[in-house]
Amino acid sequence: MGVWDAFKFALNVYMLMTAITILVWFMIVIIGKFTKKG
Amino acid sequence: MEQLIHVFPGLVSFSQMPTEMAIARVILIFIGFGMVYFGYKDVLEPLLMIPMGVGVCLVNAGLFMMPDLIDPSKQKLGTMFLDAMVQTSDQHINAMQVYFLQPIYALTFSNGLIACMVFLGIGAITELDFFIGNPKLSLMLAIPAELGTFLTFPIAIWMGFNPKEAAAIATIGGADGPMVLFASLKLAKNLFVPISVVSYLYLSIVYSGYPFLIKALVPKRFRGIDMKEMTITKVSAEEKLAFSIVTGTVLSLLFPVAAPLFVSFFLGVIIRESKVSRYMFFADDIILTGSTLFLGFILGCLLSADVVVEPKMMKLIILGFVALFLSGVGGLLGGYAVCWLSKGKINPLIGIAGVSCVPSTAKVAHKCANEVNEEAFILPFAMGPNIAGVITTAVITAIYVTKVQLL
Repeated sequence: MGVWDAFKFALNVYMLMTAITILVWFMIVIIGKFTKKG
Repeated sequence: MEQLIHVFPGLVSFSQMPTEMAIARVILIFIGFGMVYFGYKDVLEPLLMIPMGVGVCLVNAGLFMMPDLIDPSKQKLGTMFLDAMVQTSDQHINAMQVYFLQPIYALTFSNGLIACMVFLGIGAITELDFFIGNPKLSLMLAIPAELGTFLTFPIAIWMGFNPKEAAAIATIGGADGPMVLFASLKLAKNLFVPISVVSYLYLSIVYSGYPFLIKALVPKRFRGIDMKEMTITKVSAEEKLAFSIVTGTVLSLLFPVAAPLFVSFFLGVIIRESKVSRYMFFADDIILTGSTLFLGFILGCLLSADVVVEPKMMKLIILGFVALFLSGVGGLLGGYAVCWLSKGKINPLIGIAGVSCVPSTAKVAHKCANEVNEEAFILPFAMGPNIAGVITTAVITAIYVTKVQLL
């Protein structure tokens, strides 16, 4: 694997992590709507 | 001489090994002393450094020529602690009769159980309020703080590591010991000892190292922002329980390879939030304490001279530093971004707390803010990105472990 390919692979991993993180945020918001506040 | 070999085989073993290894062995004994001393003085993390230092000292002192379990006709330099090189079931069974730490190593390290037990304990002591109370800010700061995990991968490839090894090394940037241990056991078993040791050594000096980075990159007027205008939303135990169950299930569904990690962490959180006191005591006082002790001690016992003279060790030391440095820079850049978006209401130092390493980085951010402005109390706000950092690190580790195996 070349360095450029490695960079593209790592960028891909990073973007996927960002997408999953946004999904986690959505889940917190949705769960907050259905549960009572503290 | 013959009598000396029988009476003091450890002393004589210095003459039975290559000179550079004998020198490395002596240096490591002193490093072990240093770990114990600085752990005792609280300069390094004592929970890990004291058992690790003892292990390093004793394993390098206790070497002697003994029968090789893999090929009994030969003799090799070894200790009575453990043999990490055994592979087949027979060799494992034989090793367990000889080495006193072999049962723990074979049953908890090879399958990543020790990392999961530490993670369960971390889950049981994790306070989710600050994170769930302000998820957007927390997650927004945790994403740039993974910069080191992202950029270390191509740098490691450039330095000659293969993709699996590079991915395991890159996880050091996530600053979460159990995650590094899990990734290196899954992806680069041949390098898991040096990677884990380098990672834990750096993580133990985060508390004293990151303040230099903060002072170099953040001017005093930003460091002193007190965040008094910000509030933290209260979160119910019901919300935290629902979040843990739903997130754990969804993440395990997406990344089955890393499901043991997610399950362990969220089980810990659920135990905490369900307030079953006996389970809480068991997860925190027994599992976390016990697994941290054995993790430190066994990692120390694996750090023998032959591991240090491994040619890749120096590269690992450089890459570990690069990974944590880049993550720290990324975290502070994220902090600057939210500071600018909030028109100066948010202290940019809470960005560095996104580099996981709970709770050290949050404490560092608070300490540095407090030095400039005694009224700045940013710890609760820093804990949000700190916990978010654990989740982003678990996610990026899971993606690396899953995707790199498909290459």
